[in-house]
Amino acid sequence: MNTTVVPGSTGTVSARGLTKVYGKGAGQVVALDHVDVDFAPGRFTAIMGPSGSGKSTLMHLLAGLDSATSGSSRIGDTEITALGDDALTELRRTRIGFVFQSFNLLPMFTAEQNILLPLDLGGNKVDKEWFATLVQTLGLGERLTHRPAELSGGQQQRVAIARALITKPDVVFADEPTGNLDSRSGAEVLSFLRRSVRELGRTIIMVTHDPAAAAYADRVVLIADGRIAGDISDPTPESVLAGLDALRTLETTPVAATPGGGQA
Amino acid sequence: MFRLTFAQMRKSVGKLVSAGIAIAIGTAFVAATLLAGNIMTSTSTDSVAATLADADAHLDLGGTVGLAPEAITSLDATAGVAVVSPQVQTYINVRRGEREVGTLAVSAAAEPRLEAQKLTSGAWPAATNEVALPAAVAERLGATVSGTVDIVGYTFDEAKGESEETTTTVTVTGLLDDPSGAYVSFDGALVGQVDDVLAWNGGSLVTSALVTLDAGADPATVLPALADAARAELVAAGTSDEDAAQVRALTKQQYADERIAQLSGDTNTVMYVVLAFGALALVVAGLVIANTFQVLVAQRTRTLALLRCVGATKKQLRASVLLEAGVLGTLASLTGILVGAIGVQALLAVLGTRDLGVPLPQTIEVTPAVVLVPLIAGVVVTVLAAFAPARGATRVAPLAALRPADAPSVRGGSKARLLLAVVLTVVGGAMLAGGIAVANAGEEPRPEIGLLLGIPGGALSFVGLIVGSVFWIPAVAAGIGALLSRTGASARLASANTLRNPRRTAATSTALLIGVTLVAMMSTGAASARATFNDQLDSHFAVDVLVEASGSSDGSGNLDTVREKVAAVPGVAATVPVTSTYVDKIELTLPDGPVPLGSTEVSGIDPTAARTVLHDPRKIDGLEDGVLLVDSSRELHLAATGAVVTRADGTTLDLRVKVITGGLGTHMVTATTMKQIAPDATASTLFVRLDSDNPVRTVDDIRTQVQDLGAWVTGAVAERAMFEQVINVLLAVVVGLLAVAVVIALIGVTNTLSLSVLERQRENATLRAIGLSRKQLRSTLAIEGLLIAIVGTLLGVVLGLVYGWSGAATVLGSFGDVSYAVPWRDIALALVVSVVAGLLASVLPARRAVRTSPVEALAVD
Repeated sequence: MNTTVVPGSTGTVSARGLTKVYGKGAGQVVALDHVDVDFAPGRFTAIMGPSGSGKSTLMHLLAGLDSATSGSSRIGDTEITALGDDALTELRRTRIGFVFQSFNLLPMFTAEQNILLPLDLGGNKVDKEWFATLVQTLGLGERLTHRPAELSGGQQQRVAIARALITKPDVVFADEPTGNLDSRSGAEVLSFLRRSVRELGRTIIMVTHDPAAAAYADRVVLIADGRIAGDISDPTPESVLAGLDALRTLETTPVAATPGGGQA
Repeated sequence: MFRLTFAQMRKSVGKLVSAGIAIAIGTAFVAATLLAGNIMTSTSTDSVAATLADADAHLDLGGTVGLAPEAITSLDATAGVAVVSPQVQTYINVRRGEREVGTLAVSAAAEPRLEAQKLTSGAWPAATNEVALPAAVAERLGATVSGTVDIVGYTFDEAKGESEETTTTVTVTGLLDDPSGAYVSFDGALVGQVDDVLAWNGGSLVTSALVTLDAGADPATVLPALADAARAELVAAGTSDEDAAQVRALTKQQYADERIAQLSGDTNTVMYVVLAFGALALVVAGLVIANTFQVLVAQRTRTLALLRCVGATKKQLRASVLLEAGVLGTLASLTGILVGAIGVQALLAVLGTRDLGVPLPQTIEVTPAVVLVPLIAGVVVTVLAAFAPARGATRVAPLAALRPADAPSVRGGSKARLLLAVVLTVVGGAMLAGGIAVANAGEEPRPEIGLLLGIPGGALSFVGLIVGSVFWIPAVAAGIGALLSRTGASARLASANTLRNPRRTAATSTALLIGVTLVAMMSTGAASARATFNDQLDSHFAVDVLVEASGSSDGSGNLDTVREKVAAVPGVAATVPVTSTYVDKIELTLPDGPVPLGSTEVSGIDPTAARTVLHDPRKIDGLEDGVLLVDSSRELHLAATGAVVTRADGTTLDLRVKVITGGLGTHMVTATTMKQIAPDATASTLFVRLDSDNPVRTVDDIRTQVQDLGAWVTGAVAERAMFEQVINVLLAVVVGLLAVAVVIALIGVTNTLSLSVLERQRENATLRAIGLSRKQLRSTLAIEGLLIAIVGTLLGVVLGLVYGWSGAATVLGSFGDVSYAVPWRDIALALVVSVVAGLLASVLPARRAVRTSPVEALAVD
């Protein structure tokens, strides 16, 4: 099933011919090789692939954290590959949210201060209703005055999700959000991510290598050797595993059928 | 282990270098002080040796009355002795016309080669009443070869029991230069015949002589024989054996060594004081080092834990950290010593091109002490400072290697520390307060006991405050941070960051606090002393300059001319004439009846004009027409209500009386009343008020202007200016020395910030990822640096004020009311410096921080 969305529609994250080359000469590594991909708004998409496949690089470029060698990436109408550092910072502050594997909460601030930090940095006002919704959805009501050191890993990640959503961003990028969590907390966090898409209407792009985690998403984009290698809609752990297996075959036998759905 | 230590050092070279700079500054300071001390000693040795010129030995009859010059000269009969040349010195004034210069007169030697000075023109004096003048003296007097000058000496007249001035006119035969600096403190010495020099101070006996020996004579046998011969002469002249036993004949080297031992007492004191500042600089550097190592250890937690896992013992880890400190201390100290030596050598090179009148050595003399003292001090301070961090290294559990690295969590201080800090502060504070109380005890102020109590008390309480800094400095930083937080997100981040590691913040601020406290204390103390003495001086020297016209018959015209000339001198603000007269009879009206004052001086002045020249107008409080202002502290006089003044023609005048204590020292009336008392009396004195930048020169100018009119000028303002200059120079020197400690502390601020940046790489990347702009990151660090610097400076200023005032209260309490001054200018300067330095300190760390890519936030270690 193909879920391609017309580029340019509000909140669509898209890449065209996106290429990233590290190093020069003999040491040259092509991390991303002319990638074309679109991510629809209001969807929860997982990017999967083996280590070194380029999934993290893709996310960095889509989020404007790193500069592309060639090609373009857009969020809605904004071509982020053309932006300078200040504009990128502004973009990250207002239109993008991040959830990290290591939570990355600021240890000296309380949960509430951490959540409100992006607004604070931009000098923007707090939408109290939205804040209350987030706190309630993520079950953080009791924990707002606690500092990160007083929170469990799962709670810390929920605070991080709230921080990512507080500015009502166009898209939230989550990088292995369950990597540092036990399976129960991990499942909890993934449920929250899915709820924020379904109930709060957010767009989430998650990088993971865990098929179980990917199964929470509406769609899984498989990536290998810096290229899009597959696209699975409404994935289940089984279909994701099957897709990954196909990738492995792809790696050992270069000529193979495209697994799952067609390429984006 | 060694290899590991060096590998780790290579990895942290940046941090170690900045910590090393702190130590290097301290050791450079110590090395330079020791080198300067050496130069001072060798310069004075040369100067002392120069007075002996080419003599082989010195005969010292000190402790005896001495011998006649002829008797000394005839001592050359001793076998092996070639010449014995009597040596006499006395202080005289040389006058030529209006000009007079004070100088040292020395006797001409028996041979020119025994003269310490060189002849630049003319000839050595050969006969009585001939002299050779130092070129500088001759120039000031306008004297030339073959011209004459007057020698003004003082001889003690036993019959009268007082000194009498004697004047001798002498011919100048030659001019002298003093290239070896034998008489450097006098611009050279005047040379005259032995008998003449003796006559100028009314003496006839000589107690010192230069000796040359025959070629090949052995001083070890000849000199004792010479001393014996001199003793025999003394005994023959009636000196007791006991006194005669004090005669000594010393070789040139022995003599110079002995004199230096006496002279260098002063030099050494100066050196020890300066070294104390060097020690202070090292202590502050130690704080910076301790901080650096604490963070180094914290950052290496994983490596250290890994080492423990593979079998390194605690002892080995501790040794590794201490070795690192030792290597750092050695390298930094050697660098410091080199820098200090180069600095002093450069100074010598610069000074060598100027004519200071002192023959300075060409090169520095590097003694073992110059190298060893700063080296040992530097290494010991560094290793001691690394001790606590080294212990921290041993506490790392092997398990820490297996856990993901968290930001090092740092605790505050222990309870024992808190207790120690409180006890020290309270006991020290009590001693300080006790010292002030004792020094100000109403009946019997004992400032010396106050100081004995107050100095250790102040030091103790300061140590207590520093030991406890980890408890209270973060609290203060939090307060100031909370104020700053209102300005925006960057400030909020910065103040939160500052409080994350209370111990490090405290240590960094403390390093600054120490320097600033001492600077503020010195300048507060000096300002208070100045203010206190100003009050005293206002009272003591009520008038800047007094000009008294000579009592010529046309007195009035004379003073008007004088006043005209004085008023025209630049720097003179106001002049007021004062008329004085002696009244033969004044009777004070007292409740118990009239009391006669006898013949009394009464001065008349216009009260309104007087207020423009007096520093303390209270001195003429209540002066108005018809009032006699009696300056008296006698209880009897205080009740006086009126006075009856008997005029020269026998008529009387009734006046009201105001009694004042500590007035102008004479009874005052207004100029109008003066006309009634003595209609013929004319003004003979001028009160002069200056507004000059250079009062000493202005007084000189006034003197030059009115000299020809025979007026006499007394400038209390000159004394006052000199007094203030002494305080200012002392203060400038002390503050300059303390500033070194402040500079080191500011390096510490940079250090702390760059370490924070390294530690918070992940955090800064996260912040960048969620929308912190580069500018905001830069200003976050700038505010953090500012906060640390401001806290240290503000607290330092406050503590400095308290200690400065305490010191002033203890020392000055017995002088009367102490004025507690606030040296606003210095405080403002300290704050500006710390704000600028705090901001600058963040520049380099911020450059590194903004290079951090937000991608790093995603990295997993």
